[in-house]
Amino acid sequence: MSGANGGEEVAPSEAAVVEIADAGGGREIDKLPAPLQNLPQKDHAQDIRLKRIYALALLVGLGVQVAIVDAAFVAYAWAGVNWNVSEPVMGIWLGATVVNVIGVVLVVTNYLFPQRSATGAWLG
Amino acid sequence: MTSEIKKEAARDAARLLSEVWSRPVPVDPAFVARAIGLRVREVKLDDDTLGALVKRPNQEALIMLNESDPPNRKRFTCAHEIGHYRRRSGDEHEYTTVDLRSKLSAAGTDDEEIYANEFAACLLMPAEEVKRMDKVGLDDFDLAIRFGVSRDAMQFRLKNLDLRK
Repeated sequence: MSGANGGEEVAPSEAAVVEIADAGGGREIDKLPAPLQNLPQKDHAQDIRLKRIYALALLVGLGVQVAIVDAAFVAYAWAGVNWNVSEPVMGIWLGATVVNVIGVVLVVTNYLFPQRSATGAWLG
Repeated sequence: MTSEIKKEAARDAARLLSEVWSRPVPVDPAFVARAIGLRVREVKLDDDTLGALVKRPNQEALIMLNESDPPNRKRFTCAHEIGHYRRRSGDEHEYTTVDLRSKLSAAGTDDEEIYANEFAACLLMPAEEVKRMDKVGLDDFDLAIRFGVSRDAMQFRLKNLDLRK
């Protein structure tokens, strides 16, 4: 906040600074990186890792659910009614399978192409 | 008068950036200083001293930064000292400029300091980049991280650019 040309009397802090400059102390530097400049990238990487774990868990859960439903259906059709499956049961089973698949497709599509409002805010 | 000084500082900072900095933000003020022939040194200074610019005849000017200051403070001080240097460009005489923490509040009335402060803000937070990132919807905290400045400095810059009330 103060400046002085050579030859003039300088304030104590200026004299001290000049003395330090002349003594050549300290450490010469050629870069001053921003301390948190990689934070957005780290945050993004963590986000991807979390989503991967979440997606894998969902896929495994979905696979287990489908396997249980199929096993139950086969058990019912084979051992229960000797493959004389009634029309309503068949319809419900097929319908439930289609809803399941469409639900997963909707969730994935919504994630891949999220909707934005005119102001740019995320709508989900 | 003040606004003229600020305009001049903004113009000079933008010109310097276009000459020596072609990378994305955050701008590295030490790199910029080196690019225009300044040396930058971290030294042990008393608590009240933020930094200094020392010019000796026939020598490269030296920017001194307080080694105990946090990184963002050092970045801003470095950019501020570059501002002092640019303001005195062509002055081959010996001179010393010392920036003190205790005199920060008085900086708003001193032309030299008004110029250096505005220059530092424009160098580290280029107006176009700030506007572009603000448009994306980043808040002041995110912006401060991306530009490598304190949150206070970012908020002040946003107000000056009429992007915040």
